[in-house]
Amino acid sequence: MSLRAPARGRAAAPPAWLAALPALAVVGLFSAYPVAVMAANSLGLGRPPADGGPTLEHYSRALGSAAVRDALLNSVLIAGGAVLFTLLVAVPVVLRQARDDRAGRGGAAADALLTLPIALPGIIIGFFAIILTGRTGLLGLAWDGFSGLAYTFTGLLVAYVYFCLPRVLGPLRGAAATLDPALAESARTLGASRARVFRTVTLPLLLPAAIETGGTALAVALGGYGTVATLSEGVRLLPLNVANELTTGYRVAASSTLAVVLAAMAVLALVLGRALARLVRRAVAA
Amino acid sequence: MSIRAAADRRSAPARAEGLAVDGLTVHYGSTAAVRGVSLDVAPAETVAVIGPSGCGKSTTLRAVAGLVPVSGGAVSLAGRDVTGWNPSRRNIGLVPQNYAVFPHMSVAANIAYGLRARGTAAARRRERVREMLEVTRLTDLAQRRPDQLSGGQRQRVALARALAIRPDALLLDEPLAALDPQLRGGLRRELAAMLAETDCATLIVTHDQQEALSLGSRIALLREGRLVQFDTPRRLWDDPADAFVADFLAGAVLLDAVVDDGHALALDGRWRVPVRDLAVRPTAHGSTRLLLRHDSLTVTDDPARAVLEARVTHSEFTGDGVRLTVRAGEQVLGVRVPPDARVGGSVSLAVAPGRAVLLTPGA
Repeated sequence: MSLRAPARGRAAAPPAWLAALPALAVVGLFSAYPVAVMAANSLGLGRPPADGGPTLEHYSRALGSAAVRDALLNSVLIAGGAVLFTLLVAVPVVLRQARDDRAGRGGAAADALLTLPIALPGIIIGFFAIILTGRTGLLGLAWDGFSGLAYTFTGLLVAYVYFCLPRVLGPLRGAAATLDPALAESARTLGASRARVFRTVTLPLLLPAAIETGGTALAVALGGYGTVATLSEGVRLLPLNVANELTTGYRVAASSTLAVVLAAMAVLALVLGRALARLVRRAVAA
Repeated sequence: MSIRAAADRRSAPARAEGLAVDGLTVHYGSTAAVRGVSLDVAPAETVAVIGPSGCGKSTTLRAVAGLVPVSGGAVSLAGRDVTGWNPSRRNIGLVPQNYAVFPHMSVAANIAYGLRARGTAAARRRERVREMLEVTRLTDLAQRRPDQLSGGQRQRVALARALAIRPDALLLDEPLAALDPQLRGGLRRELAAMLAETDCATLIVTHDQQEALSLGSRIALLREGRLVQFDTPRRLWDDPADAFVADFLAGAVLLDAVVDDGHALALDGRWRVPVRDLAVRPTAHGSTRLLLRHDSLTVTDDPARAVLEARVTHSEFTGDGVRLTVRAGEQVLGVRVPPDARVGGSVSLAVAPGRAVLLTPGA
């Protein structure tokens, strides 16, 4: 007697790619096609009347412009700085949350308050900044130094931290929840101080997740438009330039070029975050 | 080198007193998880703390380690009152239930962790790690990652890590619960052998009767946060303090009894058993009681013997026999019968001569 299951019926199963087809169609239409058009425009491969043939001229002009270089640098500094600062704030918060969750006394109000900004558009966050630290802002009444801070580099940085916070807290909280509390407890009984336990056990185990989360948050922050659109006076960031090239003069090629640069930076942040996280995970385990 | 030989270098008086817990009370919010528990563990002794889940046994262990705040009572270790001390200052070796081996460190680095935290000199540290690897037979695995180890090996890493610091007390939380049941017997004997080598006071928390009986030189039985009985395994087995202890530790039934005219009367006088059929032993727990184990009763059809009528509520085939659960009035009892016995809905029970114990104060 054969123990093999009868093969009947298996042949009738449809191929797996058929199930993925609708999703692929959506991705192709709304993601791959626009990216291809955007890249083609930036390389002078657009429709003939506008574009004359393959060229890197748009890139050299964009990267040659001091305004674009400034915006690029500001984007990297503000998004990067905001993510770094957010991580510094978030690590103690998620560790505390994980402890409270285990003890079954997680505060729903605190959770809501911390993750609320994820639902708020960047423009609203910009408004918050103006209301608090604009030229006639609330905090400006208390101390003159706050007045007009929203439009400065520092003000923008603070607004971006607020923007990044929920994007870092959410995933990092999940990672903190998977840390076994018995690890830190064992380390304590072995004679390690709280600081030593954090440095030798908690942080090494949380770091890969923190880096990966940081990469994702950086990618999102680089592309954020609403906040800087509301607060742009002195400091300009790259998404603003992309929009400007389109709205003032409809320079499709120039706009596409900057958009490609911006997208590449975001993707790079994401990929670097993942790769670095994997590297650190391996280094920590070595 | 054995752990004992290594530890002998410490001054003897400092460790002389072992571990003492006095009137320990722990609250979680407004509920008391542990209420006035007192027990002591001599150096080189192993005490098992046992009880059903939620009885406060793990909380007791965590309070000794300093991982939960104490709301009353005292914990003293090697003659020092450590109540309220940080866990890092207590000099305690903890082996948590899942072993909590640091996943990002090698076996050797795990064992060295406590020594590093204490600032032990590198040469001394390497020597001690080498000793511990040898004692726990992990030398070949020294550079392995924890995820490449079996459950039993991880347990030995946690044990070696805890013992490396020469603790005054060793605390093991359900040491065998995370292992496959098929492996537990062998690993229990292995653990017992390694514990016999140490000279620190060892406290084992378990919910498994066999583990407690075989590993503990004394057993503390907890129920709803209170200490019910604290004695040697044999005394707990032979002279349980109450019906709960008898049931939990030995699966036995303890009935209140009165001796009258050569008979023991149980179940409000509905059951009369001739005392000559019973083994009579003294008890330290006040009143006269009848202790019935699974082999104390038989099913009989001889009307001349003193019988108890009971209703069969459940029968369970166990290979070498059939275990009946019967009900006599409000009392549930267990009876073992041969596999080929023909049993109806109700049975007549008699004691197997000499197999049931009459516990009498001052006998």
